[in-house]
Amino acid sequence: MMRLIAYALFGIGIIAAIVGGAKLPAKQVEYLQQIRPFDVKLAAVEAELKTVDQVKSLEETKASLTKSRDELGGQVEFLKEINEFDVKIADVDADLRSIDQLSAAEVKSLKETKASLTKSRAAVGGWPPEKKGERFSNAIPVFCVGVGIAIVGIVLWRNDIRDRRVAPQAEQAEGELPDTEARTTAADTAPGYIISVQQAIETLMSMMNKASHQELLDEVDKVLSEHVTPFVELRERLIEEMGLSRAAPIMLYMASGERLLNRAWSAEADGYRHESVDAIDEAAGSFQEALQEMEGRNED
Amino acid sequence: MSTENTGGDSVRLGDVAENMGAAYRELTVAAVVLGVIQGVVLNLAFVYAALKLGFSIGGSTVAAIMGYTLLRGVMGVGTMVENNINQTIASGINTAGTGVVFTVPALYLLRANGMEFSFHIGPLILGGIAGAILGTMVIVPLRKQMIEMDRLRFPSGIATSTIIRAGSSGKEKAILLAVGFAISALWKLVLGSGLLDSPSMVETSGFGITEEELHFNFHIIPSYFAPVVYLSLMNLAAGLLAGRGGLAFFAGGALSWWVIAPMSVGMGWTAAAPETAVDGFIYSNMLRPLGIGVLVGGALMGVVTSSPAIRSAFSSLARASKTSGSGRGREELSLTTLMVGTVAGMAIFLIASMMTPGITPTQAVLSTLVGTVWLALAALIVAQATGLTDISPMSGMSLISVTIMLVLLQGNVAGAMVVGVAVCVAIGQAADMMQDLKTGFMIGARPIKQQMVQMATTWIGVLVALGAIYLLWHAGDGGTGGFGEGTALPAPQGGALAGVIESINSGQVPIDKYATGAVVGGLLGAAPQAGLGVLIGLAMYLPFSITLGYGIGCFLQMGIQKTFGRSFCENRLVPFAAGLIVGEALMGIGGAAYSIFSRGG
Repeated sequence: MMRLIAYALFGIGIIAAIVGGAKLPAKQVEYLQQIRPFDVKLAAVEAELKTVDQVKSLEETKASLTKSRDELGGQVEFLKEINEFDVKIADVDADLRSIDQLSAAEVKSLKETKASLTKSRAAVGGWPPEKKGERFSNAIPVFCVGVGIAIVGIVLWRNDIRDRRVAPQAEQAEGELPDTEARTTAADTAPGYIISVQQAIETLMSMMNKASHQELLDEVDKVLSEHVTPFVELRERLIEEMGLSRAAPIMLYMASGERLLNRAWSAEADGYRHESVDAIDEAAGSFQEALQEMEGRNED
Repeated sequence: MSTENTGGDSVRLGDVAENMGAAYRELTVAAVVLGVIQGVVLNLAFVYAALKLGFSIGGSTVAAIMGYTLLRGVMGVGTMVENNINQTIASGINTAGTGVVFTVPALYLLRANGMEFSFHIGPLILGGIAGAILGTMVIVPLRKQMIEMDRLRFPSGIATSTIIRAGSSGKEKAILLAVGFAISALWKLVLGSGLLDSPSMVETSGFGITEEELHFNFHIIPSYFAPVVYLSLMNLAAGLLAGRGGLAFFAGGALSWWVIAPMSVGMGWTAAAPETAVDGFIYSNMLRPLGIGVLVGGALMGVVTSSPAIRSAFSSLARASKTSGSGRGREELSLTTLMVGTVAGMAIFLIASMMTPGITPTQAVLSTLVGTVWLALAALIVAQATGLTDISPMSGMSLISVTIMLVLLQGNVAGAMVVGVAVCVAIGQAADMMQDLKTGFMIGARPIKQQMVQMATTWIGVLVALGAIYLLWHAGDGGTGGFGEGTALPAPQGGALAGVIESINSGQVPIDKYATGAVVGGLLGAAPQAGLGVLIGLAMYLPFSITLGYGIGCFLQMGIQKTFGRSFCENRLVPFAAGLIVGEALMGIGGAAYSIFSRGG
């Protein structure tokens, strides 16, 4: 229940804060309204000028095609190819005709208009405002209230996590719950997972001398997917229960072992069995360190 | 580079040759040389494409495929981790070019437009190199946090690892990868050709496709609900790989366009908008600037809330841990190396700033310090966003960099741009390094080797890209004006940044939106849900058509997992989705090349 309230407060607070922050200051709105006519005119001028680029690009294509065609000139056997170029050039010409081509004077005039509009647009005053307070909208109180609500939500959320972490331990310590009835926590189950990884690695080691290439690859895959991945999936609960600083070293040792198993797989696939053996041996060391760390933390 | 195959005996073990006693090939001369060559070629091609078309493309998948072909197919020696080194180098050099080509052309264009200032190429080169070094240095300590703790998906990293493993993962996975690739490439080809475009239908019925987007307003749904979906299968595949973890991103988009936008219209806050472009008004004046603020605030708070894990990663570096104690050496660059690299990067940064005309020594020190801090934060934001969604908010981060620096350096454009180049290169490196480290994690590479080669070679990309831009500009009539509006190379990103610089100089920065957005981002980042601030900020910052397509992918994955189980998703959906990503990426490159040549290159 507490978690739900925390989620709701956090969500409402964040939405309110974003909405409050999103509104534009009045002075900026005024400024944007003033420059809008300039932007509309500029867009129109730029659209017209774009045709100049289109024409330029088409003319370049035509020149390139003509050049390639001319290089074939005089050779009867290439008449067919020449004809193909002619067809392509005719297509480009058709495209060129379909565009309202601007004269040099018109282009010059458009560029001048664009420069003048840009200058006038830049001359529009009012933004940024001289008073710093006017840089923020009048929805800032909404933003502040939203921030406050979200902070309350986070505090409740974190408290709920802490209570869940402490509750089973406290109940056990006070003898309210016998060991057998205590809620199963990730910290309780994690050592079992690590031990299962170690057992799977022992099996893997025992088959190294007689296993075929494919059998070994399959077995490493199996250790990763059936024994390591379940521990990886436990990590969020583990962090929640133990806290990040206590859970981090355990997870880092486990990840290191996982990477070494990946190395064993790659080395085996590449045909370096001895490297594969070394990597598995090294991985076993990492998992052992994870287990020691885990047991040490649980004893704390 | 001591792991060249020394030629141990080879015996057959099943259907695979066993290289008995030979060291496992990882960091080899062949991988480095091939990576550098591929990186330089991709860098030149994509710099040109970015000037022509306005976008760039990551080169990891291309490099992985070429690496496989050349190392294993031609030389007959390549291993997966060796190919990972090749692909790390190639994409690092290529990505450095992206950071340069999105920023430096703005300087040339601004001066051509009549703005009076002087700049030299030297400080830009040094700024770019500093960015390349610092981008790698600041992100390396976060590998454990992002990849091993938060388990961020990095969809392109997964796609690259799927390609690298394709030959050995079994026939079924290879077929699924190929099917995904073929569908996506074909779909991209059809979409890009404009065959499905129906602008008149969109106008008359409110339904149809234009410019790779499906419009479905039916003249009933108002434009401010953003009834448009981007028909990219790559985008959908990123959602398929993210699944439930990507839902917050979709929720951020839905909140923006189905709650905030209609509320704003309902309350009459969009009165200044042209009637036909209310959605564009809401996006550019409200949601996008707010989103940038949310991204920054969310990432900052993310650093605070993740500090125990980051501390743990740092202490592990400080102990120079060998992770498993088997005596096989360091797994990550040591803290000392990182500190020396950071100091060296900052020193180069300082020299670049001091060489810039009009910058005082105090301003140079200030811009180095502030620039480095901002660069680290921006790198974190971009790496996290890429890890969560495969989308990089690079332009938003460059915008903030230039804004901060123009204020700090009192309008000195050249000085601000030195920092801008450094930040852009750095954030590109950070995201790229993390993608490659994810690939490395999936195939079991040693992170230290990837980190070393990235640090050692990425600066080459800065030199290549700056050289290309310099040459192209001076290839214009009279030795100037080789790119920009009205030329064969319109340089759209450079033009946009030039426009932003002009508006910053006239004081038109939406400070209110950045500030309120940062507070909201801070709150989201403080929630006990990793990455919430960055995901929602990114969703506000991007057009909803992208977020919607991604969200559909997330829902599809959840449905498939519920119906067929987790194993089906891991073994079948992942290679298929990886194929979708690679297919569109390669067809995108082909499309860009075609576009360049068909316009007379």
